[in-house]
Amino acid sequence: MPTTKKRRLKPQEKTAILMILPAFFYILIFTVYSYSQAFYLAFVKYKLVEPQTIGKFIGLTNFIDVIGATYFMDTIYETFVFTFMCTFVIVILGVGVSILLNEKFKGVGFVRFVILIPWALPPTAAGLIWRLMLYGSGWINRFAIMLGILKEPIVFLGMGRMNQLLYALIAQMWQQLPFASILLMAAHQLIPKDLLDAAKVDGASWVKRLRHVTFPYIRNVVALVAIWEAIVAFTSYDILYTFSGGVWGIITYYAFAEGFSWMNLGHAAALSVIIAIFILIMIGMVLLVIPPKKIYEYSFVE
Amino acid sequence: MGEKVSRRDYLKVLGGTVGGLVVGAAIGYLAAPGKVVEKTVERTVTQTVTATATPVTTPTTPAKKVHLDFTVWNYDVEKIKDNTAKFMQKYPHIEVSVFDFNWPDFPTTMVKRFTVGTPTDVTYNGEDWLAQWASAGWVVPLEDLWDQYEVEHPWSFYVNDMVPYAKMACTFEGKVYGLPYYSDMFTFMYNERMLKEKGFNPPKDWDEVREQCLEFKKAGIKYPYLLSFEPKDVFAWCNVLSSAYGRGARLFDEDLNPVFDKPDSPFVEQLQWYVDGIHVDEIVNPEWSTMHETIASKKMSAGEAVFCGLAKYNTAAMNTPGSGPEAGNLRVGLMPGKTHEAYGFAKMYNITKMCVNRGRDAIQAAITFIEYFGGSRGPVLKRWAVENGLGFGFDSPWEDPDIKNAMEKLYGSADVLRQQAKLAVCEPHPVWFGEWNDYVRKECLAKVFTKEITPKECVRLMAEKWNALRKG
Repeated sequence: MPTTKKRRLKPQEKTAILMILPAFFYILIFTVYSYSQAFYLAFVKYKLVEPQTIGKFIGLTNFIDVIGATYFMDTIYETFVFTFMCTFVIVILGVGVSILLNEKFKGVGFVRFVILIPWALPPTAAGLIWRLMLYGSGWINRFAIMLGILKEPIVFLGMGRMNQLLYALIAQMWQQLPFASILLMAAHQLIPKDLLDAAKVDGASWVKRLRHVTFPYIRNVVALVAIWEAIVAFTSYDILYTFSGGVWGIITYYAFAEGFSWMNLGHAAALSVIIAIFILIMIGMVLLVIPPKKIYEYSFVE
Repeated sequence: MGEKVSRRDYLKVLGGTVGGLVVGAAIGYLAAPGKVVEKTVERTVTQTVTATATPVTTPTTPAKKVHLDFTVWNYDVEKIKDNTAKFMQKYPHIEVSVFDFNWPDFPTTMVKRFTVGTPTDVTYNGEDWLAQWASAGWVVPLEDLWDQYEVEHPWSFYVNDMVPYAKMACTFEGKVYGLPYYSDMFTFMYNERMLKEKGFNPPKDWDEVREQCLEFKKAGIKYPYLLSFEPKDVFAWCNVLSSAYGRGARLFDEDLNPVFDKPDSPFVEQLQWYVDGIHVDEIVNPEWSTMHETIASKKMSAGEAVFCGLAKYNTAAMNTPGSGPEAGNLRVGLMPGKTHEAYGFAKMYNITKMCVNRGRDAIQAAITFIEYFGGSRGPVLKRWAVENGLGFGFDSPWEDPDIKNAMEKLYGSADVLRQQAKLAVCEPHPVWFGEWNDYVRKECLAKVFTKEITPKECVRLMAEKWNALRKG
């Protein structure tokens, strides 16, 4: 029998392992364990009001139940509409705002500070602020009536679900735009100034400079911001919950409702697993657009 | 910056951190509530043995101080705390902590509380959650415990005094789980002065409500009927259901098969009445989804509307002097419709399984507390009735002149109230009722009122969900 000689770890390898250990345990407890628990719950019966059946393995029944639920197709549609609209609007406006913030004008530092305030607010507060503003007696209606734009208040919150979802989009955008803008602004600052000046001297118009000089530099950050915003929108819960007065939301709301309003933790876990799959797909897209090596090197610019 | 950290230094820091964490975790473990649970289990076993050995006829008075955790929703919390303080004065060996939660979030908050095992001994409960909480084993039937403990009146005294709809509301699978904290109806309210001025009598059916509303609209009242339907709030459902009961609607037959979706169902007729009222006649406020009962009450007191349907106690707030120019003119009328029935409900005091697990002393304390707070001869029921106009689930309090006078003063005719109470209906709430109800409010009724779906589609969805939940 040939004997294999065990390779001794080099001292720096031991140090590396030790240094990784805290992160490893953190991930083990807070990611692996919690995901495994949710995954386990998704395959067992866990209805709090039927304690005698809790823990019984039921295969894919929870998934079949939630996919067949009356709300499922509607909420999937609404979730994708909300995610797409949020991402599109925030990225477009984010690029615009970042260009403005990158300009040098008096008080630009103050503007950069003020613009971050909505992002610093908890999403719960953001949803509530916009709900109150859209009340019949809210600030928007009162202002429009005062200016003579409206004669009667518009009952924004008495409209159909899809209309209200679009109003909620404003709240989401208001909260998320600052962060997207700041990230994009940082990318703008990586563009060599002499390159922009050279293009200007060569007679390139503002649009051409944006397309041929600026955009190639910020392309990866735009992609990163887009996918980040898509994930944030897809997992939105608190902002929509308060905006809707606790009545509706996108798919995350139903995960909560199944668990804590309808007391079926099995269904809630199945929905959570479905959400996690979508999120993993989105993360996969990030890694396709920007290879992990570039992310870790903070080197988004090609 | 840039200073190199040696491996030895790193290992020192790491070792210190890990050591700290271990010590911290050990302290945390010793101080964790889980430890208390373990103690409780041990004590339960011993005390159950003691309890079995103790003759039922020899009630025990706890020698040491017993602590109770009492959970309520946030209706007049100051008065709840004051009542609790008075109780503790009378029973110094019982100490009570009150935890109040926002009313619309109360059921979900309590589910979380029960799920994680946060100590709770006595809790408010509602007829719409009782089945869930009882099935999950979080609350226990009071009738099984009562007569084994020291009480002022036996269980039969209270249960025979309960009005039928209140008794039904406190019952699950044939067992009565609690004594009503507050039992009331969702009633129809009108402005007596405005009606008299127009020469109208209180409307007898919903066609008459519509006709009178149209007249008031012509006279300049923009939305004469106020619909309060915040989809998150269970009361939103009660409100709509009560108005449908007025037409003689029923949700289920004796075997719990849905009947609300049958052709010419009074329930559908009532939904259509609201939809037309909002979108065709424009006599019903379009801001129904944000019309909390407190806002509706204020609008009624201010004379901005003539009619509304709300839990009866709101009339007391509307008629409180100083609440608005119409204070004192608002009356409770019989629910319009063929049968004049209305939805009756009861919110109750329950003992939790956690309390029972703590043993005899805790159960005795909880029963003493519930008798003081929920008993028909107790001071708390009378105080709520006289000072707040809250309804009660018993018959005998009507014999108390203070209560009768207070009710007349706050709501108008006591005869109408009694008549409405006799006509009140509470249908059984099976275990899936809460889930069904939450779905119905948010996914069906809210969409009917925004005209996203028709009343017929709405009842079809309601029936589909009901049948799916029944199948389990």
